Amino acid sequence: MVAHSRTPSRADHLRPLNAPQPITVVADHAMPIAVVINHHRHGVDAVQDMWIVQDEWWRQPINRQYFILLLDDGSRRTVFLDREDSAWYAQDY
Amino acid sequence: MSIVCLRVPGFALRIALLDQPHLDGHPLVLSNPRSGRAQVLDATPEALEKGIRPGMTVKEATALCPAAIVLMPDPVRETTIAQQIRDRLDRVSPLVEPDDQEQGCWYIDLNGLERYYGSYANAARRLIECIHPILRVRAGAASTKFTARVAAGIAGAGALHTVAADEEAVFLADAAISWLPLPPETIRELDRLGIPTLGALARLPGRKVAARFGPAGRRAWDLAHGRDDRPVVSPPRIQSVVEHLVMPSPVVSREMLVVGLRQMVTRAFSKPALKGRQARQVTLRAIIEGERRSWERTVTLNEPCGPERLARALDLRLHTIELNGPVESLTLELSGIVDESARQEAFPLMGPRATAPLTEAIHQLKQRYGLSPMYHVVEVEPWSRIPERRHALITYDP
Repeated sequence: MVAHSRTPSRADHLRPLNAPQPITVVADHAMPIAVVINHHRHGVDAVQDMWIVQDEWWRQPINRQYFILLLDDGSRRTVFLDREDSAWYAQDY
Repeated sequence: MSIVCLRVPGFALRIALLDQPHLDGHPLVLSNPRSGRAQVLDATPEALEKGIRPGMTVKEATALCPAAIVLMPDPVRETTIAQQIRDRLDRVSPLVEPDDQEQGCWYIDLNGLERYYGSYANAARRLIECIHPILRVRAGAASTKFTARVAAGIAGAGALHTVAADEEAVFLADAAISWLPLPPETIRELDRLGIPTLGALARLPGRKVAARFGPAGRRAWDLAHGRDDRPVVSPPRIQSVVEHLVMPSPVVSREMLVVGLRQMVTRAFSKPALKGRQARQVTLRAIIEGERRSWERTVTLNEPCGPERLARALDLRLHTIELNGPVESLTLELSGIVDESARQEAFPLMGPRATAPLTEAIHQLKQRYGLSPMYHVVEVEPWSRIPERRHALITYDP
């Protein structure tokens, strides 16, 4: 039997992977200096890379500044500053 | 001091002297027989004095020093001797850790044993006595593994160099930068930047070193300060089953080797330790006819295997292996032994017969929860600059 052509798409069953997770970042002039992970503050030893992603200005604009951070425990984290709402998020790139 | 580091520089060369002690004092060179251009892998101090360096070709080395004696690696003998030394050191201290980066290097924690042996120095001497004098072992004692290793590096053959806890910073400051566990190119870069010693590195700000060299650089900076909190961890004894097979005459035919291997696998799995069980890792050692040559390979299988699958896997691998000559004897060591378990079929390999029960299971889950709780990953916009747009989970509902 052929499915009805007006069957609504099942967008509710599509879950994006790697969605941004809110994170607390202490910044100085928009440069991260510490990150709070599991209630522990980790200092930023180095900013290894940074870049800007701007897209979809014609609908809901996306304007993010990504940073790859080397933390004082030796781990690496990728975070971004959403420049539309000035909030910080963690997200692997 | 409670940590002792024992080092046998040029371990592969020194163990050849156990059987040929008359070669001691001669310029010896270790070379790889399999490569087209035989290269110097290691050289004794006598050979280094003549200008021979690891990395040069054997032809160049013999031109520099015609009296140099070229030896081939004997990995089976190296493993056996290293294991024997580990067994002897275990009798002195329960905490013995072989260095996983350098063969012929062990760390021993003597904490709490000074009263048993009278003093740390006595205990360290007992450790040195565990190793044959011809191997020219060097010992270093300090409060951390790194400092003990550097101390062993400057100790004389058969001697112990002790670094007191309050002198470690001064001691490390003069040590060469090459002692750090960094890749050779990083060491060269540090040297080019005018940082030849650990003291010079320690004087730099830690953040700058981390920014330039990453986490490994930060770790090296800590080591240069004498900060090393790595404990001596004795690796667990791995249960293994070993089978030997001496060939009636040296064998060159692969078919004959396969027959021999199948026989060893059958024998191994009939032993009580392996009966009804499976093995995950196989080490195959072969003694090659001729002057002290051997060959060793370790294969880790994708999943634990019983005798039939193991024999098939070894059969397949044996076809891709090049042996250096006729095989005199074979040793098969099976480890990673686990109880027999069910095998998980890979999802995409499921045939129509396996799909039916899965569909039925999803149908039942949907009846119970109202929706299928199974998902699979699909590419949505893999080219997207927005990470969350690239992939998605979609309900698996066949």
